[in-house]
Order: sequence, then structure tokens, then C-alpha cells
Amino acid sequence: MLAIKDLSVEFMTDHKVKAVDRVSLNIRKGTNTTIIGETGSGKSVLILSILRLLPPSAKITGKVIFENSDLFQMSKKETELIRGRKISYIPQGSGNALNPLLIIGYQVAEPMIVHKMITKKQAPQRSIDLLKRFNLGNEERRIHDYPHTLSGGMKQRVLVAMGISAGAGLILADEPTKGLDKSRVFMVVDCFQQLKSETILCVTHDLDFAQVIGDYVAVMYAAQIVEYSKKDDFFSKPLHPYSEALINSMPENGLKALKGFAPPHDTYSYSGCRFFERCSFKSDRCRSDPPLVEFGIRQVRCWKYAD
Amino acid sequence: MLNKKTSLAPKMGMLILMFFVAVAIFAPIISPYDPNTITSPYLKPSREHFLGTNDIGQDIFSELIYGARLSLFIGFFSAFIVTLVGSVLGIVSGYYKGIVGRIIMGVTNIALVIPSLPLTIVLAAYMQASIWNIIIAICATSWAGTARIIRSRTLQIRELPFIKIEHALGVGNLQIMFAHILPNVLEVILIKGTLAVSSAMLTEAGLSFLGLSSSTAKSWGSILHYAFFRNGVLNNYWWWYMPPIICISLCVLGFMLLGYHGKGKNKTTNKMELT
Repeated sequence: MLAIKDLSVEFMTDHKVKAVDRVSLNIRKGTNTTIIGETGSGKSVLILSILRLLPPSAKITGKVIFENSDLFQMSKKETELIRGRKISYIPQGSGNALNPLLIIGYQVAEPMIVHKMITKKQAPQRSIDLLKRFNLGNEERRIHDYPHTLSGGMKQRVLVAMGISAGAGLILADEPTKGLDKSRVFMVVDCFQQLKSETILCVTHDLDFAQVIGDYVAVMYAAQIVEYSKKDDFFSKPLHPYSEALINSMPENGLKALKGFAPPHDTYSYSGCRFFERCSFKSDRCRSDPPLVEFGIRQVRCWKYAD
Repeated sequence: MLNKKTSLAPKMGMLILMFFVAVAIFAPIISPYDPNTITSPYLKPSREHFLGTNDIGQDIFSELIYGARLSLFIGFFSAFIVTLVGSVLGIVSGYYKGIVGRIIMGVTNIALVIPSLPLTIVLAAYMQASIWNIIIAICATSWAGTARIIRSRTLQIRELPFIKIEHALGVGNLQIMFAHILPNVLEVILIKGTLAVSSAMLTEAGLSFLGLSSSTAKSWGSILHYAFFRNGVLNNYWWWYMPPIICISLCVLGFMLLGYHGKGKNKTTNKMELT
């Protein structure tokens, strides 16, 4: 459904910053893929670049094929028609993700109005229906409320409703659980389980969330995808040392903290494995670029599996 | 608009303005004479002529009441145009930061550095004296300040997350500018608009005082003009020159009280700045 081929994003600041480095990813129709990664690994930039929402200072190369057409070759008008109606976006609910001065009923229905699917008169009823799907509670009254009266979890559910309101087949979600406590995360999980039949590409750093939601998992580290696999394989037997460290850091697996930090973007123009400094399996050959090793659909970027 | 906690100031401003607006609306009922009827000139205040008569024998009190109409009309009308033009240019230039925004801001900056009173005088002097030309002259210079303020607010708003989300959901630029950014800058627009009325009234009074307005139009500024140039000030006929000065001052005070103190009530915007 969506094929990302060699997508790179560079930011032209005073020195080049490569936020996404030759990422290739296939999203199959009706599957949920989660991209896991630390803050600053380039996951959000990846999502935004698919919708061409990055500032002009970003230089994007590569291809994103969606329904047989390259998103990067489209005119502005065509992109606008695709956004919201074919490919949608669910942002994180913290902060001003909703316009603070407009009632939520209007905001939920707005994508349908701008894509001329309904008239303004139908908007309240359609937002009530949508919000009911996500159990907002008291929907008839809620649609006249302003966003500041909602809690974080409610806001996130409104955003999910807003994202799918124009019926997009592909949903890109950017850390939908950020800033929510665990019990609220479950509500968001419920929302996403409602959407099981859609195709979802979700960025998160919440491993539990990925475990519940995803069919496939991609691990991003320092602008590259280092592992891609089916969810069950990934959580039972991670291949990349970084993935393994991530899984070990989950509370139920002993909460073992990863040493060190992910390198900032401007430092890894060097060659060799980007996880080198923090890896406990490192050897001399890790100083040159690791190959992408494939086991069926499973992929891992590590020397350990090269032989 | 006004809640209980607000200080007295905006209420006072509102009261003053309502008084003058009522006077302007009911001018024919209130005023004892038609301001254009001519009786004996230079009469002192008396029971028949509350504030005496002017150099050609028109009742000054009636002139003053009818003057409220024209002064307020020019004030409101020019402020409306100034605010409309300034807001649209401000939002557009703030939203399109690139070449469009830079061109608009270039023009705005030029309009800002031109000394506005001399330009207004020159404009008013070259065009035929009429109230419409006064309005044009006022508008020609004063939209720039509004545009700049609205632009800087728009620059802030456009970086908020919800704008990017609107983009992501396929909402077009016009819709974003006028359905999403406009409500967020409306507060600033209203305050700027209120203050624009008072500054437009002041400019009108100044231009009329200099004799650049239509010679038959009755506004507070033109009463002052005749009081000054027909020896009213020289002979210290205070009943002639003081009332229009007091009226203009009170009106400006009213708008200032409303404009400067009437802000910060919008709970949702306050909420937004906190998060």
C-alpha cells in the first residue's frame, strides 16, 4: 500500500544534519506497523516527510509510492487532496494539537467539510457519530465544548476521530500516547483497536503500546532502521543488540537501563555502525558500515548476522 | 465581554462611549436648533443659546450635538477600514513568511516610517476638501501599525501544532488563515480597532482644525477651526472652543479605557498560552 524507498531527509542548517538516512519500508494494506525509537532518532521526521509537511529547509530524496503514484512528484493541489482523505495524520494530544478557540465538533468534522464530503449543517451529527465510536462520553454536549475543557486522554481520542473523519485508508500516527499516564494509554489503545481494519503506521517510544498495536515493528536508531520484523518474533527474540537492549529495558523484563545516549544527529557522519559506542557485542568489523541482513521479511542491520 | 472581576476602567469607557453614541443617534431630538440656522452672531451663553452662537450666528450647542455624528462616523468608519486592511495584510504576510510576506512587510515598513500627520495633511490638501477624502487620508497611513502587530501574532500562531495538523488533514491555506488563525488573533484585532477609532477621531479633529475638511461639515474639529480662525480663542469665548475639546478628549479617553483595559478576558487564549 505504501512503499518507502531510500528515503533520506537532510536539514540544511549551518552544517548538514541527516535526520533520516536511506530508510526503506513496506506497509502492507490492513496491517499496523510501529516504528520504535528514542527521541531524536528521526521517527517523527520520517512521518512528516511522507505527508510533505517539513519546512523548506529539509531536503528530501528517495521515493514514497502510495497507490502507484509517487507522493513526492505530486503537485501541491494533489497533495492537499490526498492529505486527510487518503492519508491521514494523528498527532500527539499534548499541547495545542487542537485549535483552542474552536469547538471540537467543528474540528472533528472539518476534514470532511474541506474535502466536500458533507455540508456544514451535517457536521454536528457526523462528529457525534465519530466521537461515539471512540466513547468520548456525553457526545451531544461535548461537541460544543472547547478543547481546554478536555483531559489529555479525551483530547487524544478527539484527535483520532479527527484524523479518521475523512475516511483515510492509511493513518500515520505520531506518538499518540505521549504525555499520557498508563491508564489513559489503554483508552488510546482501545481507539486504535477500533481502527484495526485500517492501515496504520505509528511512531512511538512506548514499547507496550507497540506490542499491543503493531503487526510489524521497525526499530529506528540514529536515522536508520536497524531492525524490521513481525511483532511476535521481535518481542520474543530481538536480533539487533539495540532491540535486545530495548526489550530488556521494559519493566517486565527487569528494567535494565541502556547505557549511554543516542548520538545527536550532527555527529554521525562517520562510517561504521552507529550503535558502536553502546554495543556490548562490538568487534573490529563494526567500524565499517554494517550490512542489511534479511531473513525472509525480517531485516536487521548488524554484522553479527552477516555470516 | 466584561466580567465581574474587571476593574472599573473599561466600564467607564463603555459608559462614556454609549453616551456619545446615543447623542449622535438622537441628535435631531436633543438639539434645540438646527445647527445651520443663522441667528445673531457671537452671543454669549444664555437661556436660549446654551453655549452661545458662533461667528455666523449658529447655535454652538446644536453644532456640538450634530458634530458628534460626524466625528464618531469618521472615527468608526476609518477604524473599520484600517483594521480590516491591517488584519488581512497582517495575517497573510505572517502566514506566507516567504516572498509574499516580505513584500507586504516592505510596504508596511515604508508606510510606518513616513511621518503620518504631514502625509495626511498633504493628501488632504491635494484632494478636494470632503469628509471622504479625510477618511482616505486617515486610512492611507494608519493601517501599517495594525498590520505589523497582527503579523507578529500570526507568526506565533502559525507555529502552533494544530496548524501543522490542519495541513496534514488537507485543510487549505485560506481556510487555515481565516477559520483557524483569525479567531486566535481576533482579540488583538478588537483592541487595535478600538484604539484606531480614537486615533482616527484625533486625526480628523486635527485636519478639520487646520481647515482641510469640508467647510460646511459640522464636526468637533471644524467647530474648533472656526473658533480659532474667527477670533473665538483670541477673545477667550471659552463656551465656543472648550466644549469640542472636552468632547474629543472624553471620547478618546473612552476608547483608550476600553482598548487598554478591555483585554485579557478571553479565557481560552489565556489557557492556550499556559499550555
